[in-house]
Amino acid sequence: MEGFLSGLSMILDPYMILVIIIGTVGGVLVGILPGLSSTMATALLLPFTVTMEPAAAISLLAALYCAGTYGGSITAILINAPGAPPAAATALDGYPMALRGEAGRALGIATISSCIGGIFSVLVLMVAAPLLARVAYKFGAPEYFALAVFGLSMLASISGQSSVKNLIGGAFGVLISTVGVDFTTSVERFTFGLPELTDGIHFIPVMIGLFGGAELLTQSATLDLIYKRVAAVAVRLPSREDFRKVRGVIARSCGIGTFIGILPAEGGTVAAMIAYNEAKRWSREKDQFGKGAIEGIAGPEAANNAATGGAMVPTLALGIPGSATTAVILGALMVHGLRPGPHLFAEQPHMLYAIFIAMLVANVLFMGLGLVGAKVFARVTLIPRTFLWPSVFVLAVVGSYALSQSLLDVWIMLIFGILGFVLRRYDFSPAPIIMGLILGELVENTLKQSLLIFEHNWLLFFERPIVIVFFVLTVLGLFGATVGRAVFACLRRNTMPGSFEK
Amino acid sequence: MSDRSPADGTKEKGTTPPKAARSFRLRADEAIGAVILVFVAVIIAITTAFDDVPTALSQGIPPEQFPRLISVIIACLAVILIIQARVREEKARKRVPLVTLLTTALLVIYVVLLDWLGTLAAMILFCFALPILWGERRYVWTAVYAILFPLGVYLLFSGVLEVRFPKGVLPALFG
Repeated sequence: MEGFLSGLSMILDPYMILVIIIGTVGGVLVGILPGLSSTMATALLLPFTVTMEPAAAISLLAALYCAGTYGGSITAILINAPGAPPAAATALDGYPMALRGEAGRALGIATISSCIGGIFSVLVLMVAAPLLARVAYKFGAPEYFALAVFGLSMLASISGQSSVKNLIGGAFGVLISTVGVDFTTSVERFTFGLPELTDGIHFIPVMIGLFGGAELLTQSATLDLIYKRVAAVAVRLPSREDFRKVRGVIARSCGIGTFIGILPAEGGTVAAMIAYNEAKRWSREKDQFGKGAIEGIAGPEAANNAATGGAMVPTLALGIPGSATTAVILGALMVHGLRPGPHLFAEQPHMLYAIFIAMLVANVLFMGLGLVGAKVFARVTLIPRTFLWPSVFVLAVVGSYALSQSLLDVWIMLIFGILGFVLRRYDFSPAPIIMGLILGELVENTLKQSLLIFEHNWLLFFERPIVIVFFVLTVLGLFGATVGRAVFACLRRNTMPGSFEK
Repeated sequence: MSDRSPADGTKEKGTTPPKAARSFRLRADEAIGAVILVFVAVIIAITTAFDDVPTALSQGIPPEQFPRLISVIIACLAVILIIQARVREEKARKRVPLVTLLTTALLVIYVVLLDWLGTLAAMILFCFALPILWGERRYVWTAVYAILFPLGVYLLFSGVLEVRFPKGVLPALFG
């Protein structure tokens, strides 16, 4: 409670309020703009925040994350193109509703569901993160190693075309993290004689390149795409009847979204997809899904915003990113010299509570902005792409340069931008590379420390119960989906007519 | 080996391409897997050239061990990717449009010019050239944008955030 109150007093500062407002408005805008996601926006914004106080910097990014996740729904409903990936499921029913002339009703449902999902998850975050951090106090190097490996294994099931490609991406990220001077032996690795590389490849230019540069090239390949816009109308608050219809869906989606969010690496996109399927499964009017069912909007929208708070739980409590955007936020914490984990909760509770409260405020604020101004905000999609994307790239260049004032960082950003475009073309997503890069150092250092503790006896890993739990979860993360599909296929075959089993 | 893959592939309806196509054409994922394997080989080769560890620090894992471990994991995953490519249907991909290739070239030129012309001049040129390349024909508006936006960003970063940008080789020569 004391932490909460001191966090609240930090937030009540006019500067902090301004920061949260900027983050929220900015978040809604980038969420709306197709191609610009909160992940890219946080990566682009990160270099700007280096000179800010850590609490203000992280609050800004967190507010942007919450609002950006919501903003995607506005474009999903009005132009059938999710403004951000987590809103992809929202378009399935949102756009048909807009076509029927019910854009205002659809936007109202999306706004309220997003807000409820977001607030629920932040409340869970406030309770769960300190508890999880307390558990993590008992973690030694072997536990952290197992946890980081578990986090990376979850990449197998994040959204994307191929589990194997996601895992390759994650491992590639870990490999990039080994560039520079080896921590324990001071031997230079993969520096190719460049003095700038002795400190390693910084993740900020890599993030900006993979998310910003690659997206610009992707956009250049779709210049002939013309969006059909449905005229934005005033947003309508859901009627009592509508709300009664969706409240069960929202409640379930809050739970699904928060849970999926807490799982390492799994963010709003997966949460929204699962929540959409669940909303459909529980609905009495399944045939209405895809034609404009309000549950089809409420489900994914509550879930993707619920995933924001959820994803912050492992990020802050354990230092393991819960989603792509929280990987960037984790990077921001590290840039500010803060290592998330139990010690952060012990040493800086007021800062963490300030971040939690900032997220709560952002959720309420975007609801207000959405209800009053969605129509106005939607107009940002009229900004010509021919001016928007050069601006993004200019910021990408300046942002990657600004951090260490090194042109090599700009080249790294550019190389990863081009690489990201090529990889995306062949169904590799950028998020696993970032996860690997962020977690790589932790994986290597904890592995080395563990083996020193165990005197190079690998088997001693299996004498620690928490490590065993994480290893089991890792195996489930890697093979769970495949085994599950096989079992499901087997069951379905057995229940087919003509089968001799029941 | 090639006799086995059709049996795996035929389990899923419609996923098996014609036999001839499968045996002669290299699939994208197979090519990617092969490129990754070559990449891994290069990485492992580089790790053999790491400096020797000072004896005082040689207690723990040698510095090349961890990158090698990760490389081997990547290689195993690449082999799985190649195997999967044999049994999965290949996605049709559009050719990369010329404008994307030109955009990539422009990005590279922009970063080269940063060092030559200085940040502001390079930004202005880039902000004019990219919209034109992307089909923007409102030249006056483009010019206005190409001057105001870079100027705003430059002033924000150099003034407020105190970033010292590269001044460029050419302005220094003439200045």
